[in-house]
Formats: sequence, structure tokens, C-alpha cells
Amino acid sequence: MSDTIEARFYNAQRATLLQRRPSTIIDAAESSHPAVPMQFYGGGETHLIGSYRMGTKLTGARTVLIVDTDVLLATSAIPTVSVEDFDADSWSRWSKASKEAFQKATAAAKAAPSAAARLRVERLAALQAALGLSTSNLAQALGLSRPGLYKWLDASSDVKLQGASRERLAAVERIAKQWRERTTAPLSSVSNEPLADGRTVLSMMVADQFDEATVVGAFDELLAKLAGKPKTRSQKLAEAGFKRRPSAKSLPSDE
Amino acid sequence: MPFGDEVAEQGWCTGAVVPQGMLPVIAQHLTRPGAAAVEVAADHWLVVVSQTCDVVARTLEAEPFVEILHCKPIKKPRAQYRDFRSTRILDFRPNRETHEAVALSAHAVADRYLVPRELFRDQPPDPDRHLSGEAAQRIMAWYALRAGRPSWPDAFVKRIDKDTEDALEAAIEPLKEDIAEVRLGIVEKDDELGDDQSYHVAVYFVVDAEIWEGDVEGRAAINAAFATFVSKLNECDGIEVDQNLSEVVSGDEFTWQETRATDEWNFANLSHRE
Repeated sequence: MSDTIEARFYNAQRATLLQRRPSTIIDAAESSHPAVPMQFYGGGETHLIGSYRMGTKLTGARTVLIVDTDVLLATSAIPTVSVEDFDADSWSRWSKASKEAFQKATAAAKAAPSAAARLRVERLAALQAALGLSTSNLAQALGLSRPGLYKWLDASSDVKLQGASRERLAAVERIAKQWRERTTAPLSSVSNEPLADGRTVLSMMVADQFDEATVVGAFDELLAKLAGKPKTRSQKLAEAGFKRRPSAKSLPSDE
Repeated sequence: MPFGDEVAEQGWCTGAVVPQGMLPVIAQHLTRPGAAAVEVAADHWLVVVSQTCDVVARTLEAEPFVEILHCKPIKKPRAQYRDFRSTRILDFRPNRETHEAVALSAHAVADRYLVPRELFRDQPPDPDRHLSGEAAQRIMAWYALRAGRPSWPDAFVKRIDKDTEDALEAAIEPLKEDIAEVRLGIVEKDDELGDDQSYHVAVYFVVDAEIWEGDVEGRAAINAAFATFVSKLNECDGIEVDQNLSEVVSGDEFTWQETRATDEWNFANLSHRE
């Protein structure tokens, strides 16, 4: 590195002070998120070479630094140019590529699921793991339509859980937790078994209003039914020594 | 002694490697019509890829040839060619125990040759080089995948861009432990649709019955993977995931009929666009 990289960053507004402002990047920055153009000093001149957003991963424009002969950090998305070749054409090409990379990175940042959305999907996955209900039945239990449940399951979907939905989800989660503490089998194994009063636990859970205590209170009876269930064909096969062949997917990676 | 027993006695089997000393004898068979003979360097591996039962078939007439794969060394297995990512080229490690640093590459067809089986009666395979059981299994599975993969429409494959493909692969990473299989039904599986038409698909994550019954954590991982996979696939322009049908389902419940109506999801199914 023979020239100086200045550790000074300018926001979009101040970047207008620079003589070599790549307006496309600035425009993109200003129209989406506050972005910080980055400059460096090389070849006797100051150059604006990219922009980035504080606190986010913008793998496009953020990681580009051009120095005299070395590239400190570069992404595959943006061509790197040495100062010797830093003529108007290469600037134009680089600026165009930077804009595209910037826009792509901004779009990706926007599409990235929020922590809340990821947590929501994880909660639902844990719920499904304990209950093992079909998507339709789980949707009913949560008071949702089937497409509504898929929307909840989509981490890129910005769903705000409203009061009633949140309470219903919490109630079903408490039921799932209680079941999970008793057995590793999914509730669905016995959710359609008629209880002593003729109802099924599934019918209780998909009702518009359900009594959590009644559902949990049925668990002992359901566990007895679970223990008395006949073995499945695959269980009988496994017990008789018939094991399934491992698939090629289970071979260790050649990475 | 039957012919096949003589071959077996020499030690030939799937994954055996042709020794350098045999090259002059088989060189004339390592050719393409109208092309010069293939050069086989000392660090190349000529691997037997016929099934062992065919290599040692009792009579010569029953199996007149042995299939040989000409594998060339590479620095390391490349992401796009290892682990069944391509049905055309396979990058693999032949034997981690005996040749830890060696990686090989071969084309399924361009590097495969038929060598008369009688040439294997009088000489044993290379004593120092042979494929590990895993590597041999990998090559056989690779050929099976090549022959058995479904032919999805180009127009469908094109709608899954590289970023989405990577995201889908990341989503099903937890399934690599063989705890579930992803199956995909495509209504228009035989049709090349125009840009104004959508493919309609149903996605099933079929869960190993033991996991389904007894592993809550495993099921949670599978359900999370399913949610991500479906939402990513549904984001593709021109692909609509049927949310009334798509499910995570126990292997005890997914029927033969449903198996026949769906294809196993495999990234090699997308590789014909390479």
C-alpha cells in the first residue's frame, strides 16, 4: 500500500463536497437508507469509492477499498481498480458496478428476516414438533387460516401478532410444553382418539374457545392410549431387524 | 475354475484401481472413436465402477466388459461438483485413510471406458490404491442419480436462481443427517411454461418415523427447515407452492401413491442448466 487511506467517512450530504462524487451511489443511498460514502486519498487525489451502512452487513459497497496496488478488502460484486488504471472509464465502470452492488445489498438487507420474525418461525417450529399436527389443524388451533399460518411461517413476512393471536399462540405453546414434558411422541399420535367424554383433544383445540386446563387434563388419558397403541409396520420391521438403507445423503461431505 | 472366480481371486471389485503395469494392455481401450488414446499419468486413477457382482460374473459372456472411470487429480473438491451437486462431473476424495490429501475429478460419461473383462483375469488391481467404501458408494450413487433423476422442465429450473438455490440448500442443511427427505410434486412437470404461467408445486418433508415419534428436537429442526424452504421457493417468480397440500409428514403416513406423485428434491435435479 503506497498511498494513504483516510479513515474519514462522509455522510451522503457531505459527500457533495467531494469533486468526484459518484452521484448514482449517493442517490441510491439517499433514496433507501442513510448510507455513508467512503473516500480515500490516492494518486494525489481524493476519490469517493463506495458507501456502506453502519451496523448492517452490506457485502456490496461496504467492503471495497482501493489502494495503489493492493486491495485490502474487496467483494466479488465490485471490480477493483488500481490507482494506475483509475481513469475515467474505469471509474465509470466501477461506479456502475458499485451502484448495482449497493442496490442489491440494500434489497437483501431489506429482505433479511428480522430477529422477531425468525423467533416467530422458531416458536412455530417448536410448536409443530411437540404437537405434530397437520398444517390445517395447527392453523385452526391457532385461530388462523392455512395461508395465514404460512404467512406466520414465512420469516420474510412482517407479521405483527395481534392481541388475540398472541394469546392463542401462547396458550397453545403452554399446552405443547406440557405435552412435551410428558412424552417425545407428537400429540397428533392420539389427538383424534376419543376421550371418556366422547370428545377428542383435537376438537377441543380447534374450537373457537378452548379451555387450556381441560386439554391438559386429558393428557393422562391420552398417554395411556399412546402406550396402548399398536405398533406401526415400520416399528415391527425395525424390531424384527429390518433396517432401512442409509441414503447417499448421509455420506460425509467431500468438502 | 469359472471365469468370474478367477477375476475375483485377483481381487477385482468395485473401487479397485487399475495398476500402472496394466496400462499398456488396456490403453487401446481408453479411446474415443476417431480420437487419440487418452493419456493416463501416474497420478491418475483408473477406477473400476462396475458393480462387483458384474465384475466377477461367472461367465465372460454374461458380462463381457468392465466399466472404468478415468479420474484425474485436482487440488480439492469444488463446491459445484462435490456431494452430488452435479450429475455430470464428480469431485471426490477417493480414500481419506490411505490418500488423505488426494482429490479426484471425473466426468460421468466422457471419462468412462469399457475394457474387456478377460484382461482382468491375469493381473491383480493396484495394491496401494483403492477407493474407500464410502467413495465407492458415492460413485455408484452418483451414477444412479444421473440415471434416475427426474427431468424437470428447463423453464421451472430457470425460475430458481442461484441465490435461491443457495438459500434452499442452507434451509435443508439440518436434513443431511438423513432424518427427512424433501419431496416435490409439480403439476406441470412435463411442460415448458411461458413466462406468464406459473408452476404449481407441493412440498413434502417426509420425516423418518423414528424421528417423528421420538425426537422432538429433530422435528423442530425439520419444521423450521420446511418453513424456510417453502417460503424461499414460493418467492420465486412463476412458482406457486400449494399451501393446502404442502406438509411435514411422518414416513409412516406418506404413501406409495404419494411417493409416485412426487420427486425427491435434489440439487442435481437443477444441474442440467450448467
